[in-house]
Amino acid sequence: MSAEALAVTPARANRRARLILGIFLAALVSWLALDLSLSDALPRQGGGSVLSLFLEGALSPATSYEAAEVPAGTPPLLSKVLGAVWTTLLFAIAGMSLAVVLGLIFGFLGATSWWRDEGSDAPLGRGLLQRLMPVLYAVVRVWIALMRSVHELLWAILFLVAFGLNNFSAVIAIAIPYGGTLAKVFSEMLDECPRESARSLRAIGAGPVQVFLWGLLPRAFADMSAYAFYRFECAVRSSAVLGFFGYPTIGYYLKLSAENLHYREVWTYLYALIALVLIVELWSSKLRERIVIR
Amino acid sequence: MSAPTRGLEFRSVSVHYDGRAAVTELDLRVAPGEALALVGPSGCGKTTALSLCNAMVRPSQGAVLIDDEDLSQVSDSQLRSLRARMGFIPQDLGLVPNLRVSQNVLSGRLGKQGLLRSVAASLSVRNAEHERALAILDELGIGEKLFHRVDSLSGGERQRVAIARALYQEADYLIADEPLSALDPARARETITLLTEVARAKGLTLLLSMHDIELAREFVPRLVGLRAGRVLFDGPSGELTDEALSELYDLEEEDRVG
Repeated sequence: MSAEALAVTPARANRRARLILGIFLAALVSWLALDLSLSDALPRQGGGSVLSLFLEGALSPATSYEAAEVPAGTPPLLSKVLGAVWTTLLFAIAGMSLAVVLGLIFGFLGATSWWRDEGSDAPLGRGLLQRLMPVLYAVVRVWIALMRSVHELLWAILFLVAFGLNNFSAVIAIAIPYGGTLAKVFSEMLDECPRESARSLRAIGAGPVQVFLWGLLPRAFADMSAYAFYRFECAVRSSAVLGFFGYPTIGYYLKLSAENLHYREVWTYLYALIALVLIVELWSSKLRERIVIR
Repeated sequence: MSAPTRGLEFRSVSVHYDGRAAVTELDLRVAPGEALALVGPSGCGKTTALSLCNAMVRPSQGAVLIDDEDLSQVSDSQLRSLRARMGFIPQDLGLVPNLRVSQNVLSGRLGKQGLLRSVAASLSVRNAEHERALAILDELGIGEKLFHRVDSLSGGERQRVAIARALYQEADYLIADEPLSALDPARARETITLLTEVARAKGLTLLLSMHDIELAREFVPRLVGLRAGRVLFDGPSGELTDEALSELYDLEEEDRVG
């Protein structure tokens, strides 16, 4: 390589300077446009006492209801918390189970390696469908982008309106964007994994689908499952937040307690959520270890 | 196992990659049951020539025929069944490292199975198939590795798994690209012995590419010397003269300078 190729040319230096300046300006403009001032980060009048009340709650989370009187027959707070944790987990599992199916289907179809013939030089397509395949591939990619470009909370609003407050609308609100994200990442993992096993199977007459299932999928599988476990942790948090729309997950009870200014109850739910997320994370990292290293 | 065949034929085959010739006007006839090694310096076109045999590389000019069938004229499904007759061990072996030895060996049959059958076969632990795989691995001296993951094996053991996969395939041909390149001298000698003996015992047509001229001379009855994509000599290894040999490498030196 010649010294010229290594030298930073003035044009290149200019481009880099413009980029850095642009990023800096974008940050500055956003702060000015929003009229942000650091003094807003300090509690307002009266806000200080609310804040200290809230923080006090952190040190003494509620173990029983803060309300003076509770209707007869109400279950104790802690069993309510456990119930909320349980439904949060159920929504996450249900949403993820559908998301994994969607992610696998569209992840396969969104991978160039699904459409490619390992034995030919053409980037996409094989046999009679050679012309059609690039189009199908593009349609799948756009579909995946649509699925994940809308946040699960927005999907939840849409399905709330369409189907009402039933459990299914929450489950598909999670499943669609998560399925899209899984599909995108799965397809990239499949495309990035080494191809020599796929080629060698193609060379001994394996069909395209067989090549994909035996030559590519096993090589990407460890990464794919590790990522799916990570997304499951995210799904637990999403499921909790969906409660703000009225689904009986942690978010629902957390919102009720906050509206009633029962901050110690809020902290009980928060701690329960944190514990749930930590347990799921511990469990999934144990599983990941077993699958990836073994 | 092999039906009477007329073997493999290259008819004036040339291959160009982006305008660069990898193989030029290659003529070659290989009779069924024959054992042949392509020799020559790296970049001389050995890998391309081997990949032409199962149409993983297509000729830019000329034709490759198996039993008088032109590989560029056959349908997709015919090509698949032709490929299923060609055991192929690429230089990188093409194994799936994070699967077990058994699964890798069983995948040798994929070319002979439909999709549904291959899925069903992989879901059920069919004892008959595992026993056959085990018998082959035993023959190659690594039977105890049946349920080990390939990435836990040594280079020599992996080489044997790849050979086992090709044998499990029950092909008519055994094609191996530089099968000795990753092995130490002792292992290389062992492996070439194994390959030639197995091919002879099962009546396979053996096509190899090799760096090591001395081992090729010792073990493979027919040598084809390639230089810059052209055949420099083709004949029984006993007749390979030292002049021809030095020509192969001298010319390569000139190429490098030029």
